[in-house]
This record gives sequence, structure tokens and C-alpha cells, in this order.
Amino acid sequence: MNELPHEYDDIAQRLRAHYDRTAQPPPSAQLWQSVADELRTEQRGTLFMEQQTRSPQTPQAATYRGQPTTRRATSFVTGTASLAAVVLIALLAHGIFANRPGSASTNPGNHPQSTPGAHVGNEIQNAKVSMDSAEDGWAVGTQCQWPCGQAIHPFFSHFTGGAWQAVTVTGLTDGIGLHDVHMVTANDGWAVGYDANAPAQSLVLHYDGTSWSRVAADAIGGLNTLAMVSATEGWAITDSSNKRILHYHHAQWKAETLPAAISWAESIDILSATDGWLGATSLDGGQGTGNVTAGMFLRLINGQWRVQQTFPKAQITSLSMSSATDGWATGEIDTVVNHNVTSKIAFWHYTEGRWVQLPDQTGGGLADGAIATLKMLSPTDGWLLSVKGLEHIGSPIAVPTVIYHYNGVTWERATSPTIPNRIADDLSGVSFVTPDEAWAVGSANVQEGAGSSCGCTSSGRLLIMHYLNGTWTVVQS
Amino acid sequence: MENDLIQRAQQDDQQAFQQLVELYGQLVWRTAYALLADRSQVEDAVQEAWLDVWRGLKNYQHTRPFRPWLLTTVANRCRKVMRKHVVPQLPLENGAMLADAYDAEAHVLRQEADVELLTALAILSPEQRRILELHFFAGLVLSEIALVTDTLLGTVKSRLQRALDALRMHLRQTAFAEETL
Repeated sequence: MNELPHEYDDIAQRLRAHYDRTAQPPPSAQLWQSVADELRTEQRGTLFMEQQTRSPQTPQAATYRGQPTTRRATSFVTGTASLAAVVLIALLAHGIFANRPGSASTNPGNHPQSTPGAHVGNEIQNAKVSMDSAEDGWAVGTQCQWPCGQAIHPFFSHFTGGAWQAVTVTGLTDGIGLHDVHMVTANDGWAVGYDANAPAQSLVLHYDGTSWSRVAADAIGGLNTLAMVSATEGWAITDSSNKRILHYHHAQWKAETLPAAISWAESIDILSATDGWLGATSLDGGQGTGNVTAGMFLRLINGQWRVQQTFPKAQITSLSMSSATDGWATGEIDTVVNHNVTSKIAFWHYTEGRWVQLPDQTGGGLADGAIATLKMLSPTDGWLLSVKGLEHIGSPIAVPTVIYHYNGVTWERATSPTIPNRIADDLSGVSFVTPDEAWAVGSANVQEGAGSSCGCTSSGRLLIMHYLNGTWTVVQS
Repeated sequence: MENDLIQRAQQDDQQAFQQLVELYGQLVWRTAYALLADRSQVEDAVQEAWLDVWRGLKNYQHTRPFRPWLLTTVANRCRKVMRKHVVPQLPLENGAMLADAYDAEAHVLRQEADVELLTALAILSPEQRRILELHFFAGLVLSEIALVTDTLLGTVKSRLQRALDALRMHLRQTAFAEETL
């Protein structure tokens, strides 16, 4: 199955030719002989080899061990994992949002009021949701055919009248993907994203209660994350390594400069017009593909973003403040073991006026590379949402969501549903209406290609979960 | 065919197991090659992985697809090999000899290989290179790569796309630079 679009054919062909030149497995007979040699030492293998000796079909190939047939292609032992400055174009949903769930079951069939959106892609990723009340909210994202390239499309869904409805917004061209949404009220909302037709531009949309329309904004590149603090004050960050950030103030989106030490901002949370935090990454040499040298926490002080603390080899990917004196962040720390670079989940807690780095508070509950969504409601009430990759091998695949709740002392695994017949990518967005009600969105991939030997791959769907009175429910996957 | 081989191998049929090894030998070897940082460990890891398969077949359930089960077994063995392997601290003179040997090998590679591609690959992170090898050398689909690297599918996708885009950009820049010389 070809999982890549044709635009990558040339590079794929060169890679295959390169690998075939530089490494070749030994012939099957040699492989078998080496395995048979190993089996000889096994108790069961002894019996096995006695049988084999009697078998007239045993090939008498040369012993494989000690006869390397490969040449070194590329070294895997060079340095720290580099992280490209280019962030993936966010992907998302052809999708249907179903009704609000009334019971703790997965994908309930008694909520038929859903409207399918136009099917213009096979991928769903990086969906975001924002509720302005229990009765009203929006989800946005990007629809595309993985790995997307320029062929992306904006996705909107509106929760109103007790149901999620896919909405087609006219006037937005193909090539636009949406990365975040923030509803201030039901009649005042913002969305940001990326315009593949003009990647240096910054895409900002405004909702006035009737329609979404593009508004002027200084160009700092595609925007990833949006943080509105009021109808008149907000911030948006870009993945472009141009050390700039957009500030909404005096009814204008204007670029402001971040400290030179950082390469780009990763995460943001704004408490008020005069207080907020940024999680940022610094790369060595200022190169887009350079090594991560540090993660930095910046604070908005007197209208300026200033570096407060630096943590080596860190990436602060999610940040949420419950107050001016308490907050949490999650991300990764690069570690090198035997020249192998691995990224480990890390936590940071802001308390008593400083950020303290902590090891994975989930005890390995999050998958390596998992992008967790963090939301602190108070110093004693917080949530961390993720998924656990391919935990279950088999058919049908069923992947558990991984949700942790912070109770003021520890992060504890909360009861969360399993997504049937899906490989879940992520839970990328969450919005709490009250401490007892929330919506979360993400992406879930459909296992395709049945068959006992099928490794299979996927096409994506929008994943929607609802939290109500202590229970998380999968509404759609 | 495959199910029949597996069932017979579970009943200690060595010919059936041999056929399984020959059927999946290339896949297992290529996967181990891509997963292991130290390529000198590949042969041992492959042999031990097949031993694991032999031992594990007794508990293998036919309701599961075989290929992901096999790949998981291989990945687990590779992790064990990596954990117990300690890179030796060579004396200086031995290190120099090793470096000479690598230089000679690199020289041969440079003569035969796609030099521009080799250079471009060097800018990628180890994780990105590993995913490229698992996909284009071992032939694993993305969900299988997620499985053997214990990484989310979305992470595999983003790493693969970043790697491909970085390679394309680097190769285009190289081609442009050569044209303008």
C-alpha cells in the first residue's frame, strides 16, 4: 500500500535505491541456518534439531554468524535528536459531530443528529475545540490527504442545539488549515491557522455570531496556538522560527518581538492583559534542524516577554496556569543513552514563584512522543489527555485514551474509554464549560486492509469525547 | 497458507517454522537493522528474535494478525539488545584503527552511493532516519513503525513528513548550488 502521495515518488525511489546499495539481508537459507544454530542450544531446540537432522530438506548453508554482509549506511549515533522548525501542517477532519451523550457508552447509536462534512481528505489531526457555554461551541481543524502538503482545507463544526454540525464556510480558499479556536462569547470568536497559498502570512479569522471572515494581521507565518483573554486582548504564536508573536490589542493583530535567545514559542497561556506565560524552544546555531538546547519559560511582564527560567534539552509543548501562582507544563527531555537519543516525558510545576522540573508524573502512562493536552482548572483540579498508541495488537484494534487527573497532590489515571476499531493519534484539544463538563477532540485512524498478515494503515476521522459529571465518553471516533 | 504454517510450527513442525523464517526473514532482518543503533548487533538480535518467536508461538493466538505480533517480538528483542549493549571505551590506538576502518568503508560508500542523499540524510535526527529506514528499507507501513518504535502514529507521520521535506529541500538546494557554479 502506498502511503505517500506521488510528489514524494522521486525521493522515495532514491531512498530505496540507497538502502539497497548499502545494506542487504543475507539469503533466506543463510538466515535459516543461523536461526537453526541458535535453536540447537535450546532444550526444545535440541529436539527440534534432532528432527531437523532427520529431515532430508535441511539446507546446508554456510553459518551466518560472523559473516557480516552489511555495510554501514548512516550512523544512528550522532548527537541529540534534532527537531525541525517546520511544524506539520495541521490536519483534520472530514467529520461528523454527533449529539451530546447521555450515557457512559462509546459511540452511542442513539444520537443521530449529525451532519457529514464534505469528504476532501483522509486525515484528521490537531483538532481544537472551544466552548463558550454548555450550549454553544466550535471545533476547527484541517482536512487533508496525508501528508497534506498544499492540499489542505479548513474544517469547522458548530455545537448548537445539542448537536455538532459541520459547517461550510464560504470565501475561504483551499490551502487553508485551522490550528486553534477560542470563543470569547457565542457571537465573538477567533480562529488561527496556516495558508499554504501564502505561508509567510498569518491566518486569523473572526466570528461575529453569523459568519467567519479573515481579518488583517501582521505576517509572522502560520499560527499554531491562540490565547484570548478577553474580547479586546489576545495572543497567537507561530511555529516559524522568526522570534515573533502576534498580539491582539486596540482591535489590531500586531507582531511583537520575542527575546533573541529563543527560536520559537511552543505553548502559551494568558491569565490577564498583563500576565501570561510562554513555553519556548531554543536551538543551537539558530538552525531549523539543529539540536534542541533548551526549553524556556517566558513571562509577560510590563507588556514584554522575558525569559524567566531555562531547562536544558527540554521542549515545553503544553502549558496551563490555574492562577498567577500555580501552573503546570508538560513536554519532553532529550536524553542520550549509548549514543541513542530518546525523548522522555517531563513535567514542570510552577509553585512558590518558580518552575520545578519533575519526571513523568504518569509513571510511563503516556506514550513516547505523545502530545498531551493539558488544562488546569485550579491548583487542585487539572487534566491531561492523551492516547496510548498501539497498545493492543490484534484485530480489531482498540486503543485506550489516556486521561490523568490532578487532585492537588498527584496525577492519577482517570477512567477513560477505549476507542473501538481505531488507532488513535491524539487528543489535541479540550475545552471545559465547567469543572464538571468538557469536550475533547482529536483524531482516530481507521484500520484498513483486513487480513491476518496485515500491518495495515489508516485513514483518519475526528474523535470527539465528552466529559460530564465524572465520566468521559467517546461520542464519535 | 500462513495460518497453516503457524499452526504446524506451534506443533513443533520444524519445516513449517523454517518456511516461516524464510517467508519473514527479510522483514525481520531489515527491521532489526533499522532499529539497532549498533549494526554489529543485528545478526545476534535477529537470531535471538527468531528464538523468541519459536518460544512465543505456543502462546500465539490465531485471532491476532501474525505480522504485527512478529514485529513486536523483533522490536522487544532489539530493545533488550540495546539495553545490554555498552559501547566499549577503546584505547586511543584502537580508536584510531577503528576510525581508519570507518574511513575506508566510507570511502567505498562514497564511490558507490548517492552522495547528495547521504549528505542530506546526515542533517536528519536519528529518529527521522530510523523511520525512513523502517519505511523505505524494511517496508513497514506507518502503523507498524508506530508499533515497533512504541510511538504514536501521529508522531511517526510527522517525523516521516518532516524527514522527507527536509531531504527534498536539502537536495533542491544542492542541485541549485551545483547549477549556479
